[in-house]
Amino acid sequence: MDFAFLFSTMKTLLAALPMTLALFSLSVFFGGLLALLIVWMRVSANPVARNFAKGYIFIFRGSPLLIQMFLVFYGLGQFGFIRYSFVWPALREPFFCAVLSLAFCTAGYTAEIFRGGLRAVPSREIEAARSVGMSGFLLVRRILAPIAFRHALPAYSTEVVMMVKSTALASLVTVWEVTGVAQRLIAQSYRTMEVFLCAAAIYLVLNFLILQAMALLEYRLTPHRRDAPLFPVTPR
Amino acid sequence: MLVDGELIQMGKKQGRNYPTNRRQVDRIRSELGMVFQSFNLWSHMTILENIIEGPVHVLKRPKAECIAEAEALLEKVGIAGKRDAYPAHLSGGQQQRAAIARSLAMKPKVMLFDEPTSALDPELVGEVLRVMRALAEEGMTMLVVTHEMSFARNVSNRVIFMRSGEIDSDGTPDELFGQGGSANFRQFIGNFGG
Repeated sequence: MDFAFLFSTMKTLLAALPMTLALFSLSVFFGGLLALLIVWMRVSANPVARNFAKGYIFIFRGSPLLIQMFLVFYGLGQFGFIRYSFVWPALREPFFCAVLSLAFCTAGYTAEIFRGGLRAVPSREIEAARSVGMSGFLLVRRILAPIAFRHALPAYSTEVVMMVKSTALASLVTVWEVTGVAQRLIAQSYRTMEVFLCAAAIYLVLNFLILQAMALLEYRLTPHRRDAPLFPVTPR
Repeated sequence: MLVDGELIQMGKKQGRNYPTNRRQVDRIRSELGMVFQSFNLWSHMTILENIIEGPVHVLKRPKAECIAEAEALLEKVGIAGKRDAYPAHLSGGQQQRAAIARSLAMKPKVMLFDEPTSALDPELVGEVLRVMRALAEEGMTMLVVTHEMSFARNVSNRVIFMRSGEIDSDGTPDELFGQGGSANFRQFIGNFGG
């Protein structure tokens, strides 16, 4: 074992970690917002909105993320009206293209996960909310969303972890995140095993932390699903 | 449709009647208390949170005031100790009493009960009926759908016997349970015990 090499590899790879984290957090954030919009359209009574959302989910879940990313990064530049428009300064940046395609893709999956959560909300609890005079956004904010989110959380945490791993694809559109830097190190040193093991370890630790955080969040949000305390709950 | 001296505009949508003004419906609903057959408490909230939800978020009243009232209501329905428990941790009778407290917290003008005791063990029926009887004695206007014949007879001031969606008999409990009830009603209380 060449510990000096492993150490220097780890150091170089960790320097690229902020880029991986930036890709991950921006795409999960914007993908989550977009997913809320898509799921709202997906469950709406308006057939145009509903079918648009269905089509969106079909396309972004049904085609490979790598191809989506290539289409955004290499494909859009083909069109003059895009190349000469105000969005080009952003669209010619690999980082922006990677975040855009990651966010679009995760929005499709997340929308379906959130829809599953919504469908799991008992109609009795919605009925109770209506009986006290709730409707529209208040009903969503106070009853539907909190219950749906709790149901969606286990599946959503899987999607979040998938996103951490999907950021590796950004290396193929020249973003220097952990996997990209690992490949550069291999090209220089020809030591595939050591470098990729270091990279995998970084992803593992990162995902471990994220999953722990999600599990903690789930635990905090669902005291009602645990057994009742053995001793009676006393007021204050 | 006329409710409480107020006209509710109805419109037709796909052949069914719908109220045209949703806000008006929400406001009227917030003045009516509803108690369900299967309690319908919000499972992710504690009993106290269930009770203050409507007053705080629909009526927009100050939270501290609502909590004080909620505690008094819990005392009244006899489950003050369950303030911070979750619905799943309560017995059916306790859940239904919590649901009655939730409904009372909205200070309703009229309370509707949809078979409030039919999902309960016979042992737990009594504790719910006691709470309802106390409300009736305070003068609360209540519309109760029930199969509890002795409760209907002793607590109500008007009994309507429904059969296949139509009114079969209608009168004071003394009239109906005395001689006034129809043959159907006689047969019904014969089966269920008067």
